[in-house]
Amino acid sequence: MSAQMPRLLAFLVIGLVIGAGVAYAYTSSVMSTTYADLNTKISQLQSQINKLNQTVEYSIGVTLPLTGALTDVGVQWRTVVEMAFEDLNKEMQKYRMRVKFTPIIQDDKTTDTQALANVQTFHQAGIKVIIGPAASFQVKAIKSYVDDNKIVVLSPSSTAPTLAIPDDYIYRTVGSDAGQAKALAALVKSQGINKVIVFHRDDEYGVAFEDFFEREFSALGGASIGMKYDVTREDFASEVAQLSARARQEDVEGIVIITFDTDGVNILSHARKDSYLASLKWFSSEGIHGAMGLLGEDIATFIQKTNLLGTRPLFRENPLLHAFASQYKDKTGIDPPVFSANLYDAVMLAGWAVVRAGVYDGEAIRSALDEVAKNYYGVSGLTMFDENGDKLFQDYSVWTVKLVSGEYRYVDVGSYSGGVITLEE
Amino acid sequence: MTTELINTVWYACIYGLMAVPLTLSYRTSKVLNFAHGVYVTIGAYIPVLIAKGFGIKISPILAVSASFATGAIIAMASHTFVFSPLIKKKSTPVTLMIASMGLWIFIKYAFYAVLGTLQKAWMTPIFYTSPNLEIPRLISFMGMDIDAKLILIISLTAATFSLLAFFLTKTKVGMAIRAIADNPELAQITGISRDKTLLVTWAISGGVAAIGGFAWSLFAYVSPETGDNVILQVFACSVIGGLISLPITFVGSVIISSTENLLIVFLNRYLGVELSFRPFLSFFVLLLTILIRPPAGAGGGLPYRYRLRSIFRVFQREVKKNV
Amino acid sequence: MFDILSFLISWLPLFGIYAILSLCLNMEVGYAGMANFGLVAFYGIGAFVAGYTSITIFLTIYGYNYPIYSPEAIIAMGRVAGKTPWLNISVFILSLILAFLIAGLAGYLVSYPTLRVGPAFLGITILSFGEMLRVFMKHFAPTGGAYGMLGIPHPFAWIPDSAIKNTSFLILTLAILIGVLIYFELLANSPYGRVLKSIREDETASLCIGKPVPQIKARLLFVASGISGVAGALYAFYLGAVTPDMFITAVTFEVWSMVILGGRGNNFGALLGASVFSLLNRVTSILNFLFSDLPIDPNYFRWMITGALIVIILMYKPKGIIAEKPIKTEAWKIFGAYGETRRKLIAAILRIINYLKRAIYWLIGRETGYGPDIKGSKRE
Repeated sequence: MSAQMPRLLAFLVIGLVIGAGVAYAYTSSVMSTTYADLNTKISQLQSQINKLNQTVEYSIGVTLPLTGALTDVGVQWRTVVEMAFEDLNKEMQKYRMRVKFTPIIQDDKTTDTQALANVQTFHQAGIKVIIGPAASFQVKAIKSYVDDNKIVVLSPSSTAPTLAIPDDYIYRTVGSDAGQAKALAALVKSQGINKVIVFHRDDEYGVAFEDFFEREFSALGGASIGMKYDVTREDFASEVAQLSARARQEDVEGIVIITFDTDGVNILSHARKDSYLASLKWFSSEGIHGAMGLLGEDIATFIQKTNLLGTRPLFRENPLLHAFASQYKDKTGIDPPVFSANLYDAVMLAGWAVVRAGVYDGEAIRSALDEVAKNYYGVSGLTMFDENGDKLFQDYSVWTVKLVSGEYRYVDVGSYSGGVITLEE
Repeated sequence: MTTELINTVWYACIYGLMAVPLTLSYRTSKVLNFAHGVYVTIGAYIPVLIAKGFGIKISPILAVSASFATGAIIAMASHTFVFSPLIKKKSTPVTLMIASMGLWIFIKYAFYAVLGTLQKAWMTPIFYTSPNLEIPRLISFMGMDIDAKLILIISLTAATFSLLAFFLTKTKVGMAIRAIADNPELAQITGISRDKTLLVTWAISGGVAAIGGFAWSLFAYVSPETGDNVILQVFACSVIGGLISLPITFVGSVIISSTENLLIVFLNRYLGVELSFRPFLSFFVLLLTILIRPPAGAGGGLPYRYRLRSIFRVFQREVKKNV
Repeated sequence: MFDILSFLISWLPLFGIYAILSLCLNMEVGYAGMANFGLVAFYGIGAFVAGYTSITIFLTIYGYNYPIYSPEAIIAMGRVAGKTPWLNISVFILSLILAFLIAGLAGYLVSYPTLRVGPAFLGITILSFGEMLRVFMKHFAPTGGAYGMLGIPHPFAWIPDSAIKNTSFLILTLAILIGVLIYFELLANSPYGRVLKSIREDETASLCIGKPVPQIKARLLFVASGISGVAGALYAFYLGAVTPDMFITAVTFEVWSMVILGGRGNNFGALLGASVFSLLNRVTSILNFLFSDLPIDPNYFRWMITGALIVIILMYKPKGIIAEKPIKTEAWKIFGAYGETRRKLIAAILRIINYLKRAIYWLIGRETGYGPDIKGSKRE
């Protein structure tokens, strides 16, 4: 008898477990069919009520070069992005839109693989709009992925002409280099100079710019010689020495430098020691504009001596820009860096496009973006896109460094529009 | 041509100050140290940070000693917390090298974080800058005006290397370092503590590398990537020195610096080679140098042509003995 | 919110490419002890060869006469890429083969000077080769110079649904990865693999027992570089773009960390290292979403964690996460750890079956007839 007991108990327990399982499965299936309709209806109503009451939060991805080769400017852009999002949310509140935008800022180390990884992470998180990567080769690396997954990308600083492709998901809030090369060529010609050396970076920015400049300048009847330098180095002393020798040999009248800020400052700091180079006229693209190094005593006097003039994409008679610049200066103590107006507008356009589309979906945002950009006037002027998704109206201003009330500052001394350079005296 | 020659001198001094400590640390500890570039970067930044933080013009002597101290402390910390425990676990040189890579990444981005915070707090750009030094611009010397920084760097290099030579050949600690470098087992038998000697070596190599960074900041602007951007050239100099000989490492830096400043100019002027081929050329010269004069020793062993010949010689000797 | 499938689709191709690279590097570093610091050179050669071949063939067949980097060519490529499935596939296969051959040949040629300077300097010489190649490609007009190439035709561009297109590419990448893994696993466990290990341990000794060390190394460099080239070609097709700036030395260092962390001299270690590293990148990006408004940028913490993790893992596992295992020879299968494990495993399974059998017998009240009785089942 007692020997049978545990065995019977075991059978009982097993039977209970199985029975309970079967019973649960049966009842739950019956219950679910009865209450399913009611439940979904209630939840639908609830979500509609919630939608009306709650602020919708959208995340927008931002991939910036916070480390790596472009770190200097990338860190400053981070502040611009934060400012832009603050202003965007203020605008939304002002118009009683129940929408809030939050930036997710990721560092891409100025590499292609990390930029792609960032974009993929954004995609996982359901983000459909990305402000982003700075360099053209990074934009190229993410192009196929964003086209496939319908993610809208707004790059504030990629100017490569090879990315002027219609019907893709890549927008650029900055004009292609072709336009600026034309402006720079006109500027050089207007100074009465016929032969120049173009000293430029050996990446796509420099090479393409030099290409366009040579074409435009020879159309105006000038001659230009290209000289390129490797950009992975940090110091260009020997390159500048060679530039001086070549300038003497070719007997040129001016030097055009196509640089970013860090390399440009270094080049000027070496060039100022060379008396022959100081006797020539110097010109520059927008890349170096905003670098603090140019405002130092040594380089600034060199700029005075050589009458350095540069072009930059900017619609200068723009009150919004002045307001933005002073706001930025209050916050950080320095002038806004290059392309910050374009970056600011990229954020604004992205936000308004999302609101206009009404749904957070790549395709809808893309068509809304075109519409929004047509009707938007921002820090960088008219923002309308051309059929390639690049900025259509890009005016250029002429900048230099001048002594203003005791300290050296960047000043705009002229403008370029409709093929004509106008310089103020 | 004078500009090119002056540039060559500049670069030779800078590369020498960076490459010689690399060779020293490799020879003594057998760690191919990738974190070396970080010591350079931080050494370059310390005078900048002091000058900006206190809003002063910093005197060169203070700048050099601050750089040296910081570099030494960071190098000693990397020895104490990373290399020393790993060496005690009998790790292979490859493991140590990858550990140094991890250390490099860690310190580099920690430094980025520090700089980012400081830039926000001080409201002044420090990601690309140069130190505010308390020296005159030009010095008149025998009727010529010479850049004061050039004089400073030449004397700095000369002083550093003569002190280093004195330290390594004349003092007891220096001799212990050399003993550990040549034969660790034998040296330990004579009662030299390997760990302590390595600590001193790291302090010296980190400190001198930091002085190299300071020298760089005299010449060009500094950024958090400064050390990484020059590190490949610095490795090239050390490899020419066979990662074992300090004087030949300096010769290597002279070779690389004249390639980058004289040879490229020559090629550009007479053969029309693009200036942007400059890094190509320095690595090409490196390859040529180690093919013409293969560096021996330093855990590298002998190259095959020597090895085959010597094996053949041993074989002949054995045959003769037996016959 | 978190879609596991789309995560895999986006993560696995990059993982596959890096895994192939780390398997190649593991063969060189882990088995043969060759410190190859110029892996990126062969990777880059593969990418450029694939980009150049495919774009040139397409432009020639469709009769366009634009320069390879011009926007017109890129737009034209976008138009014709999805028209002819057979052309896409055959161009893809041809590019992979060419990438293998050319990158392999480059590896073989590079081995000539590098093997003659002694093992410690092999690393720095190949590294120099890689940097020289990058500078050279920037000036090499046929492949677009500094512009690079854009619009490389995806092998499955003819599939309209992008999800299917990407999944097919993903499967293809993983298939190549598995092929490479099996090949390397066979190679490593063959007599050739043992010679490689002997070279790693003592070159002079292997030379003395008559192994042609330079030839063996050169042959290994050919194979491993060729397969790195295939990885490069896959990368080019995946991105649809190639520029010289993509192939910097940092890529080599990343693959090195993968191999050493996962465990060198062990193909599965290399795989594990690659997956840990690329997953770490994704996982730490959560920091950006959680702490978007800190005074210190969370991005810096991301990279600091990566560095600290390398050091910490090496502290506790100096040989990598998966340590090196003996070569699977026939004798090892019987006498070695493998035979031991197999025996233990079989014994454990038998024991479990035995227990189950006895429990069932006890339940239905039958005597087991052997072994000690389970407690409580004894009759009075």
